[in-house]
Amino acid sequence: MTVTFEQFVMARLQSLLRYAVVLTGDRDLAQDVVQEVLARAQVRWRRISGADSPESYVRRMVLNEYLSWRRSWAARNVHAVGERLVDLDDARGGGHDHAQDVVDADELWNRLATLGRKQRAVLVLRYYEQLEDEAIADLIGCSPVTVRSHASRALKALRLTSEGQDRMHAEEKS
Amino acid sequence: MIDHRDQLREAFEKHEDLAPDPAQVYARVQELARTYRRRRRGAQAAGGAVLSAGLIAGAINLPGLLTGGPQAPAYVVGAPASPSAPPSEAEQQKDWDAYFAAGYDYDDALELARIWNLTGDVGTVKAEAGRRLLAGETLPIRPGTAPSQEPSPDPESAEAAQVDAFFAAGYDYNDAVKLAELWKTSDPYQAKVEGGKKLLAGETLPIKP
Repeated sequence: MTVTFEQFVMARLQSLLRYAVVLTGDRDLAQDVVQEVLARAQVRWRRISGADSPESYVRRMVLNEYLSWRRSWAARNVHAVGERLVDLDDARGGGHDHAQDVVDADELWNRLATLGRKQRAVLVLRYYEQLEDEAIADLIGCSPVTVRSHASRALKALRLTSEGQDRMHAEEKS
Repeated sequence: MIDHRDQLREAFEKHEDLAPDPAQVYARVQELARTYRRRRRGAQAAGGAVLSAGLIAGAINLPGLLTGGPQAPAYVVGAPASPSAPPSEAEQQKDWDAYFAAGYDYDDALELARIWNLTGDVGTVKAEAGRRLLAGETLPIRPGTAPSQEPSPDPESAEAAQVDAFFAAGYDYNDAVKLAELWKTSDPYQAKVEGGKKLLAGETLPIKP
């Protein structure tokens, strides 16, 4: 049975918005991206509803829209967040309790805003969508090696790479 | 020690609830979709005049937007309903309405243009298809079955290749920030694109990776 656009939106809009927020790191941009994509999807819904997985199709549209978005929001956000990160790092203590985990998650979220769009997308697809590198490569339109390179650089920029992980990524790239 | 996978997952899941109000988003989607439909029809209206001229001659070989092979033969559209007068705006609108009402879309029009060896504005193809549908003819493809043009792996594939080249050469985001300052580009992303373009052209960049 074919799902109507309205049924699709009722069932999946919340999930799409969450995905867009994680992908963009920006509530307003997430809203813009999802609105744009769904408006286009509605106009061509007959075709999309015939796809093997309409949701995968639309999520891919969201990814493409984010990667091709033309706005100078990134540069502005990077500088603002970068300044805050310095303060956060200086204030960071050595203990690790639940409150610290919450702070860490916020801090990491802010650091993610400093990444380039493809680097961030790779991390989201890997760790939020839990996709394999080959699938990510297909979605982004590059090779799996390039995906690993993006991920490696992103983890390094986020200061999440241990020596062992450095070696692992070096082996992956060789 | 917490694994970086868990850290990232936690950061993503903790912030996904920042998502905007779905009802507000849906209302805006409806507005945008109406705008897109109007734009599509506007584009068709612009193409309709070209089609009319072609119909008077009995054959069309439309220049411009849709590229066929240089040796592609002109497609004989067939006799118009009234050869002595081009279709009115109202008639054209009926053709476009018939095309969309039958469930056909933009990609179908591209496929029909390929099958019919038409070159020209895609709106004219839709209008011609609609005219045929109103005349009781069957089109060579079923609605919504043409290969999709969207989503592509990356809508800006040339640009994506340039950014890939930038990273593949060992440069990273911080380098892009420096280059953006040097080149006075609007943001680091544009510096990656510009840098990748230069690298692909065999040039060197002013800073090392």
